[in-house]
Amino acid sequence: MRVEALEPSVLRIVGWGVFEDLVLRNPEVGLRTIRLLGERIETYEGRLVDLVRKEVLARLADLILRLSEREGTVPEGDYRIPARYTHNQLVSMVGSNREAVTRALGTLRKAGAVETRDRRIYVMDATVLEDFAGAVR
Amino acid sequence: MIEGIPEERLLLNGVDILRGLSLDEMECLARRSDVARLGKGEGLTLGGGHRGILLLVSGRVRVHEPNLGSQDPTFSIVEGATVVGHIDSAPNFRGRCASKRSSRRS
Repeated sequence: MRVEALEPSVLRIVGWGVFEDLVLRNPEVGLRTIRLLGERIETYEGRLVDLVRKEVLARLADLILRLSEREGTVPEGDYRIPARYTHNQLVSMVGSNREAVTRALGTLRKAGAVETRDRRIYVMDATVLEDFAGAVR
Repeated sequence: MIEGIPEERLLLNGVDILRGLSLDEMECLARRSDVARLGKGEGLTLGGGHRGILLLVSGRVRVHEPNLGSQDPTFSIVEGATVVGHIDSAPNFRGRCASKRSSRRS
């Protein structure tokens, strides 16, 4: 596993023994960690299943939905994903290649599910996007 | 920075799983863990013998696997301040903190 900074970042590497000591003194830290990592595992499992069951189009639609739910704002009734996600990052999160993701984004745009303006992705019709996201092979 | 409180402790206090811990605990954790400061585009490769927890104190990182062929899949993009993940490489155990129960800051 490798961590790449997308902006200047500070990380702390906490050894297992140190962390165990901390949790023994503060059990709530352990409970929060379990809850958080449990949610991550659930997300990763979903993505793993999607890699097998879904085409790129459905995976991209699902990713856009998840990102907009997690990070989106609602300016004047539409959802947008912050421009912090580059095309290449979306490609690697979907687990595909640039061309396929560009094609899929074009399909979503034509269907009225999303719009791209000023390097941002706007969710224009979440229901249409959900339909795409739910499509299996 | 709040007067008298080192920046490192304040930053750790912002990490979601550590919220509410006493300043003593923050100081202890800061003392017993290693820090990695990455500039934009810089990377940290994790692997090896030990195990631990990787915390993103501030900033934004991509967690990926560069050795899986040409795809370089992104597992997640994490924004501070939270747990990045469980790792199998961590610094050696250094010292111990006092075993008193921490008091919550309100």
